[in-house]
Amino acid sequence: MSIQPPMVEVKDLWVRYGTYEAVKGISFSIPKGEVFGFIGPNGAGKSSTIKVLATLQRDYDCQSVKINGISVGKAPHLIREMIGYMPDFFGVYEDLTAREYLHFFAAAYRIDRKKRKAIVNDVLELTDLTAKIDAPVDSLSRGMKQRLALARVLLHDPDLLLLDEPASGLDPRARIEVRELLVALKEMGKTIIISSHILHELSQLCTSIGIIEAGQFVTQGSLDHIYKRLELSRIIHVQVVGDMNGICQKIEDIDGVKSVTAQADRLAIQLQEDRLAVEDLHAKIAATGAKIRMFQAEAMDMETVFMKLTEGKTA
Amino acid sequence: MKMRKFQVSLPLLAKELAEMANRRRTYIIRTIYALLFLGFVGFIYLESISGLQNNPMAILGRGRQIFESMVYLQFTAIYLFLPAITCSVITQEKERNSLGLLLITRLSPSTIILEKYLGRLITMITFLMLGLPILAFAYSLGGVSLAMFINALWLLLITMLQVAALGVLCSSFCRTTVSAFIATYVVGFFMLFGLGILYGLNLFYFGDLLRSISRSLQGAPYLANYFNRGGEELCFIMFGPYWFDRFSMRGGAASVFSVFVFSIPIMITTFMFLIFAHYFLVRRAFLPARNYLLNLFKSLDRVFSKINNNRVTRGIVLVKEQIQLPEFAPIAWRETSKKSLGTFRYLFRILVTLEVPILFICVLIATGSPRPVVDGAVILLWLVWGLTVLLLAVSATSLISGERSHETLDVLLTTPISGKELLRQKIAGVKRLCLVLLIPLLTIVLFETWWKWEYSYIASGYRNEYALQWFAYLVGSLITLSIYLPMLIWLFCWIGMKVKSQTKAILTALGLIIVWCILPFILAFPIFMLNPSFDEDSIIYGLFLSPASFVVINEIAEFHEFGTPWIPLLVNTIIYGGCLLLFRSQCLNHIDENLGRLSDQDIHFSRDTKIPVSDQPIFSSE
Repeated sequence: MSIQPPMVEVKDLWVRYGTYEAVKGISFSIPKGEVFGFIGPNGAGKSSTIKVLATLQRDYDCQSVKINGISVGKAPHLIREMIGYMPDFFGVYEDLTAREYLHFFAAAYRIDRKKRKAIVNDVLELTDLTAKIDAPVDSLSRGMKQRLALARVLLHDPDLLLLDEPASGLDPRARIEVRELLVALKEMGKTIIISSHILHELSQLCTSIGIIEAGQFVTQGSLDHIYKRLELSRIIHVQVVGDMNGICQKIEDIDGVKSVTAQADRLAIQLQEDRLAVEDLHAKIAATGAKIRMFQAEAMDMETVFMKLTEGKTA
Repeated sequence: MKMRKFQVSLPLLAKELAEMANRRRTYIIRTIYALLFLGFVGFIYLESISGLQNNPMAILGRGRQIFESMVYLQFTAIYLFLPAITCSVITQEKERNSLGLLLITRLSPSTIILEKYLGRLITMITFLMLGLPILAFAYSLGGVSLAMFINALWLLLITMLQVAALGVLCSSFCRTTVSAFIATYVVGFFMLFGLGILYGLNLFYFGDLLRSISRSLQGAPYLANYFNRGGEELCFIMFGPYWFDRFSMRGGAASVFSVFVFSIPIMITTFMFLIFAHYFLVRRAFLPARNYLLNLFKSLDRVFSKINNNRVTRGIVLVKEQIQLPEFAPIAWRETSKKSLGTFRYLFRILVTLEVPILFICVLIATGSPRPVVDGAVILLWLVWGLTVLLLAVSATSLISGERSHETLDVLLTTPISGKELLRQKIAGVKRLCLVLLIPLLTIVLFETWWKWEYSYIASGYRNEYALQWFAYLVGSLITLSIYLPMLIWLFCWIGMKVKSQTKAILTALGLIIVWCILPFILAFPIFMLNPSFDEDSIIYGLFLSPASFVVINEIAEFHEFGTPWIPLLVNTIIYGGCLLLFRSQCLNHIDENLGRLSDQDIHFSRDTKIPVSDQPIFSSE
């Protein structure tokens, strides 16, 4: 029995613009049905990588870039049938109505004429734009335009969706609408690569992430895995009554505590969680006789992960 | 209250100059201009000393020829380059959305206009300054009077002020650089030559009117000496080089005074242009994006509907335009049903709007011109050619660059439509426009053919035998039309693919056509200058390196140098047929490369193994 290839396989990808190296040898693999969050500061190389997968980047070096086992460089025409690409700008024709716009792309994807009407109605319903079917595109709000672009991406039922900053420039309501739409697509079993700055949104959506900085991956893997890895050296903020400096040495001597830093009103304790659990640390500090006023483990969310792992470098 | 200290500062001018100084192309263009200019002077100098038989002293007193050539060259530079330099002065700010920011500063509109105006004038002055040492050198050789020197500098200065002011006005009025560019050249052309054309054709007795005004001006005491060319002076009253030519032979303070008097109309127009530029600056600072062509068609629609709603026709519609959804060729569908220059209804309006006046003017001109070469029809044909080039440049360059500007290209490129197919569908709308423009061109050609044919029976012994060869004229015109129009479409399309911004693409296309038309003549000039005894017949076919040459020669039937109209036609057909094939193949065979997407022929190398990706299997199942 042959093993199914991953939906996306990138090995040692380099993208250069003249002497500027936008992507420096990144490799990753995304299984089918995954939602992969591509995170990184501006100029990190996210869009360049997505453009390579969308067959829009001519100059790049790689060991292999494959979608569904097909080489992007070898058969771009086959790749285009399999992907739905949404750039970081709207990319809509303002002189058309929503219906004309979708029929335009349905014809471009050579969808059977008899099925077009039903497909257009379906994607409009999915994106909640049925009421706007005959509205001119330029009369739609930004959020609606973004949903229309998503509807366009879904017309030919692609296996892989490449979404470059789909929520950028949207107001909170429109962002939530787009997020809900993406959750629905995830449930439909689509493989999605999504790049975004809005980390909170990605955390609710992605099954795995890759953090890229200066053209290189800082980390990649499932969210749980990354959280766990970072949590291994978690910071615990503690306030004690009385002289904090006196207690510092006692805490530092506890097995599993890596370091203690005295801050203005608290102690920041760097804990090795694989050696000492957070609850046990509380008990051990109390055992030293210290009166604990506050004991707070630093929350681990996507923003913390991002800030911990990146340094604000550009390529 | 604390008074602000009065300060003289020109921040906008400083910014303009700093921007200019920071651009590498400023120095490149200046160097090229200097080299061309000095090269040109060198050729004239060599020509001047070539017949002096090793007596360098004999050059003395011969500075006049160099001086006049230099002055005319400077005039040409002003008329050719200054509109292009100035037309973007305000529109650039509008396009960058920075004009509003300027208007909310303490700079008044008049200061903005003047500083912008000065900024571009300085650019042009730096070009003209390159010629000052040469002018001084020519003056030092002798043969140039002080009055001539002053007149030349004065006329160059006010011509520069006038042309720059026109550019600033158009820039203040228009929303985009492209429209300002076109407006500046078109208004400038009609300002300088419009009266001359009307006078020459004597349309609506305009020539007679000017002659009678000229006669009445001869009665005035001072003007009697100058209005002695039957109204010609009034036609070229705005044209600096004309007045330089008129007064270059005269010397003394009287000549300087006369030039000053006759340059008053130029100064008045300059002043008026600046006043209007100031007037429009705020009023037209935030214009919404408008499709002027579409608005024109809509207003034409209303007029035609009104005419159609009468007792006889009762609003009958012969061709009903049905907007259907795209079926197989979506891009062609959009180009022909959604673009103003592609839809049948609007194209029909263009046709009627062009065709009716053309037929009327053809008849009018023919009745007043009993000659086989009808001057009016010739000029009309050239004007329609100009309009055709302009419309094709705008529509064909925008095919790809427009998609790029509207950020829709990437989306289109990720569809399975192949590059060639995409381009073929894109061109569908332009082809329709081309067919519509072909009709007025053919109308004039057929009219001229018929006129020559009629005349060939009446006056078989006419002094220009080629003017009666109606068949050669017809074949030449038809072949030219059938090659030039598709050639222009492919060329403009190629430029649209290469140049990223839509505005730059249109300006590049128009600039390239102008340069292509005049460059062979400029390049030929040094050859004759270096060697005045050069046999011009040996390179006579070099004329056809300019696409305009055959159109001009065929119209005025000047085939005497060639002895037959057929060989020039063959040479021209080979040159431009070749160009057509070249541009077409450049567009179709390199479309994916130009659009920046992967094509199936591309091979990507593995970084480590250097194995072309093409050698790897398409499918893998690891």
